[in-house]
Amino acid sequence: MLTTKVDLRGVPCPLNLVKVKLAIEKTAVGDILEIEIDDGEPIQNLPVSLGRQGQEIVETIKCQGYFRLKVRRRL
Amino acid sequence: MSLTEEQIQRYSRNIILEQVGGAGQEKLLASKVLIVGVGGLGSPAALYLAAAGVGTIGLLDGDQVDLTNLQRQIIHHTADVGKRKVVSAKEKIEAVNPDVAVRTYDVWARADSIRDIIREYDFVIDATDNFPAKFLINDVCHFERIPFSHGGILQFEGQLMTIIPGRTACYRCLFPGPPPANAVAPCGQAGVLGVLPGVIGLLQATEAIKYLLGMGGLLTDSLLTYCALTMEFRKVPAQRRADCPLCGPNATITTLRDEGKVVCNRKGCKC
Repeated sequence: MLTTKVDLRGVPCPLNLVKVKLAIEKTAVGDILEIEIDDGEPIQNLPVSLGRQGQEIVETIKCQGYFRLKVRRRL
Repeated sequence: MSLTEEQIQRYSRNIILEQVGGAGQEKLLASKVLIVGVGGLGSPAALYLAAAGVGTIGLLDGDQVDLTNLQRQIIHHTADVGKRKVVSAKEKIEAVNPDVAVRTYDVWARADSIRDIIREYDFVIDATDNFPAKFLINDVCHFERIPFSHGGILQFEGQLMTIIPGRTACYRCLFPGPPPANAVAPCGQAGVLGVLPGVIGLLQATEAIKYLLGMGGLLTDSLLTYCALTMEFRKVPAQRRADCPLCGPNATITTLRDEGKVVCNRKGCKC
């Protein structure tokens, strides 16, 4: 199982969602994508949008001023 | 091919769609669409396909911009009157989206010239204003197996249908040949509500994008008609005809030919 990382700190909504989507497209189904996103709007919006897309949020880690999400590509 | 930072932003509203995504956008950028006729139907189709990021757009039209065009041919501006239509349209497309490569053909749709051009494209939009050209496009696309969208308008009514040659009903399955000369007045005499070609041309562009991305259901085997006065859309079922002179088993049309002379009243028209 592979884990890909994408740093989206400083990338505002909704562009961060576009970039996550592009990164998910490059991730094989079942693999993990690790995303770093800002506190505030991004952490409020992204997990919801990913869930709506049918992806699985495996883990949410709070770091200093940002969050690290582990997302498993489900479809 | 991978999208640049600028492309990710430009096409973000496409990419975010589940059915498009980055892969779909890259597919659009690698696609080639030919628009035959850069007038009322071709104007909105060209502008939106350019904005959507269709990577190569071919424009075929042998006419020049006339003041009477501007009421509906929105790709041409007042300052373009007298300019070749393909040149005027190319300038606008490039201004809308520099990602698009525009190829221009400053010629009329004729049997001897159009086949080699159509062959180069993934999808064709019939945005012409006369029957000979419509039958010609249908026939060439049949022989070359290139999918296309037929569109037509007059006064307050328009129609369109998508044709996948060899698989779905062709234009001649519905109309074996052109109507008698002078049975249908050209739009210069009959008039056309300026917004009408906008509606039909955009539906044709929608079909092109759906075909290129392989999404949704195409308007095949049915003719969609639209009346601006009653605001009614009607989907008229159609099917391949065994006696179609072009795509039926006993086809009588086996080579390209021009379906007679174009009857029109356009100033400076060479048809």
